Amino acid sequence: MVAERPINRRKCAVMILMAVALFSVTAALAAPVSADLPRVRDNGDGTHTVTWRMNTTDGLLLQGVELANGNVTLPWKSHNLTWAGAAAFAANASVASNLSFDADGVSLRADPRNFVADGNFSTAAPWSFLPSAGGNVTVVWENDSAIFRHASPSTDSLWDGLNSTAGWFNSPGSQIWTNSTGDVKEGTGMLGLNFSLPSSPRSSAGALHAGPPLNWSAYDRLVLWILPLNVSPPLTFNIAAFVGTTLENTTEQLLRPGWQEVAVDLTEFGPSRDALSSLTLQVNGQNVPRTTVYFDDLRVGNAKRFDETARIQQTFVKSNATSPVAGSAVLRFNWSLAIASGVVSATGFVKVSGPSSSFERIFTGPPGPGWNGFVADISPATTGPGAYDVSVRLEVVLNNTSASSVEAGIDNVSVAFPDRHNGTYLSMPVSLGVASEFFHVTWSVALSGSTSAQTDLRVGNDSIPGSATWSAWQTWSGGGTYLSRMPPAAFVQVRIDLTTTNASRTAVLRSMDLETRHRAAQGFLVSSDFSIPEMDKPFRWKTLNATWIGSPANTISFSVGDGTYWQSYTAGDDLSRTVTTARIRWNATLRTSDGLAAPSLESVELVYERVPAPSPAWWDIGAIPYAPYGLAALVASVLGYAGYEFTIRRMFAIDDVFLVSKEGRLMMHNTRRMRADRDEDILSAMLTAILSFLTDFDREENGNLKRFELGSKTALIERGKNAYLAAVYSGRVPRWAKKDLRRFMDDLERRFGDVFARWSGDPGDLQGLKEFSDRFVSRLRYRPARNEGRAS
Amino acid sequence: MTKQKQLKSKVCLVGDKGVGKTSLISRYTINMYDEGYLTTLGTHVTKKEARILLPEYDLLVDIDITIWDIMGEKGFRELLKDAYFYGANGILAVADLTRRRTLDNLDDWIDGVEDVVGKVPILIAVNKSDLTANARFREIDVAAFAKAYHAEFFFTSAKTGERVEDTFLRLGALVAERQLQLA
Repeated sequence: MVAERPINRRKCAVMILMAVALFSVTAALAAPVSADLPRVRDNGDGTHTVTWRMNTTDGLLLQGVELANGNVTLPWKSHNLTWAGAAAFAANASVASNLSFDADGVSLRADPRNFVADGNFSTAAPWSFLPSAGGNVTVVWENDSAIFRHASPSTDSLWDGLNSTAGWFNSPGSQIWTNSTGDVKEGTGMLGLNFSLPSSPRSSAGALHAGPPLNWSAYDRLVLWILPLNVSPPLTFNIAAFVGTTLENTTEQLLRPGWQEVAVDLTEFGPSRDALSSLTLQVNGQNVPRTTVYFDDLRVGNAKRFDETARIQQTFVKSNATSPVAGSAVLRFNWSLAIASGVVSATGFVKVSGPSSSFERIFTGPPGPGWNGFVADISPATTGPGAYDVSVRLEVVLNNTSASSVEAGIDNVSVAFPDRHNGTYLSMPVSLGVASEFFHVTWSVALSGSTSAQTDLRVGNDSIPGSATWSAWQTWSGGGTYLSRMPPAAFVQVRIDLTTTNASRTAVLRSMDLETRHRAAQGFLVSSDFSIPEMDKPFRWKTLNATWIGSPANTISFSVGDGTYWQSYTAGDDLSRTVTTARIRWNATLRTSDGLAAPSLESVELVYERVPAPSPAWWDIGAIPYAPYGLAALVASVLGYAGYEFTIRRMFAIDDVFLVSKEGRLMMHNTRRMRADRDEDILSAMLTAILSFLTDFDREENGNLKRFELGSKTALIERGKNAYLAAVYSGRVPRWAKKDLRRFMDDLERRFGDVFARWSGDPGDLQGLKEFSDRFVSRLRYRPARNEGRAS
Repeated sequence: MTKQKQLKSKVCLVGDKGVGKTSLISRYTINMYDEGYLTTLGTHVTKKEARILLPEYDLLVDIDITIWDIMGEKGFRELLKDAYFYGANGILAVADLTRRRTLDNLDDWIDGVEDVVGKVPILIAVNKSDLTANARFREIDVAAFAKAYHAEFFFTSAKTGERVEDTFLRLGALVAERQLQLA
């Protein structure tokens, strides 16, 4: 190898490295491989047949092929068609009626509208806020919700705190005292009544208030707190008093354990209550062992009594009829009952009423803390089109004298008509690339009550579903893994029918996994080396034969070489003119364009023959007939050789031209030889690597390799803006060859420069390049192109 | 009718020394050169022809991928990255499941390539998946790393061949798509 410029010591090191690299390539290609095969048969006619049989991997390197029953063939490859999630189904859909595709899967599409305007109360406008007729219950828009309220103060006042026994006397057989050590309800003490009652008859004990008659005509209610220490046997409480001369008793009220506030209706003493005497707090029972009942905080006043309702309301219009079947219409809202004290009851009602029917229900069950959800199916009441009123009301009932308050909230009111209908999914015909076999299919489908799913597959060999190549549908119900009985094919189509008898429910299709397989498209095997025995004796390779079977879609191509090159052949080809080395190896590439059919290679044979020994030595002149003529021929040969030497020094030829992109991708290779004997893509990339290595090795010099020699070959390199040319010459290279190469490069840049600059890697973009280069390869001197336009 | 197209691509295989880059290639291609070449030049070029179906383009691509196997020594990367990474259409970044550092170091390798060629498709191969008992990081670690580069990843074993071909074919598909977008 010789560089053009003077070589310093560092450059020498680079050259040595490169030589080692190139030598390594050669050495690698020439490296022997272990050879358990083949077998050699003497054919008895001077020829020998070398046979490789495919019943063992010994002596063979398999790449993407496998041994099967004494043949090499292409293996099966699994290729599952997996659609996981709705996006995959959506991407392949051609029909998707009544379906939605979302994160959960493929499902029946629901009408998502809320027919209630501003159900979340972001404004007050769509709603009517109607307080109760008496004004005791209000409803307002507040904090993005509707708030119902009632609040009223106590209407009674203390008449006797019962902190002492002053003015009070015990009934016969009982005693009274005050106690300030317990849990008094008011003041400093409470009045205790200690008593026992006989087993028969039923009787009472009490604390009697002495003094002038009481004028309670201004009051209708007495309230006091009572604590019985024992309520077994049962005790009741009432008040007795003389109205005039008549002893009157109020209704007895059963006492519970613990403190309790008891309200007594004083109107039971009649309309005239201006002279009540001997007022007695009375405990009634039978067979009561001695026990104590405490009284405290006796108040009188006038009871608050009302039963009023406040309401919110709006009207919505429904234009279509819907089904009365459950799930066709759903009412939802949130409610809270934060406060409800001092009231008889606070009851919420919701009502949806329309042209022909209505729905109403109480929603205030036991409230949980904060907001509570309410959901009701209102399908039967909302079938017809028309205007519907939706209202929520709170009824508050009060009958007491104490402070009372109620606060209830309503929010997120919605009326939805999901109106789900049966739906169908139909995919486009999906190509599997090549014909494939089908095995199991797995459907992931979530079903709930009232829903069902039918899944179907059919297959074909063209992209027109339903044409003659397509199978009938194969059908399954619901999810699971099933065995497919579909014939092999290259296309598949998916159909799914989701059905429901409940307009608010849907089946959900989540995934499909169809197990398929097909033959690998391509595979490769390489033999070990075989060397002809006694290779110093003359021989000649004759033919390459192969035994294989396959369909019209199958091919097997062969190459033969000695480790330093590969030459392509087809079975039956004559090797005698192109293969001259005694050591030989072959490779075979199996290909199929049919995923179901693979070529099967059974054996490969190479035939060689021994050729006769050369003529006797020239000095044994007596053995040569017509010796004078032979001598003359010898002289003529010497003279011819001298002439040849003279001529060959003036003759040369361009063997190869490589046009390589700057990053190392081969753009074009033109050769004078019949076939390339090695992979040009790898050669180009490695040449680029070597040139890059040398450039990087000594950046300061900013130099580029322009020429190198290897054996009888000389390579010249010429760089362009986006690519470089490497031309390989045999013979003596004249000085003007360099100039010609530069002109050729300039012409290429002029004509194809734009294409080179934006080349994506598609050889189709470089049409005309090979033909353009023919004028460089085939002629002695290169003549620049004239009047030729630029390639686009 | 599915159209056909030919493409030529250059892919750089990067990663620390000993992660199995060359073994992956040997599994996938016919190895034409010996290690002497590697140690001399710092790279090793092989080629794979593959057929890839790109359904979204309705296109069948016959792609010739030249795979530049860059030596794992950091010095080589710094010295020769401009030369060898130039024009790469894709990156196969390889880590060793049994060595955590090899995953961490992929940052530098990928950044090194992207410094030269910009954003190109990246596929991460976590090799030696047959040695799960000696694993030093988890799939979630790889997922986090891959997400940062918007890359996909495969667990491969050059020893058993597991997912090796899938890895190269997927990279081929990514590269082909990218080249078609740029064309």
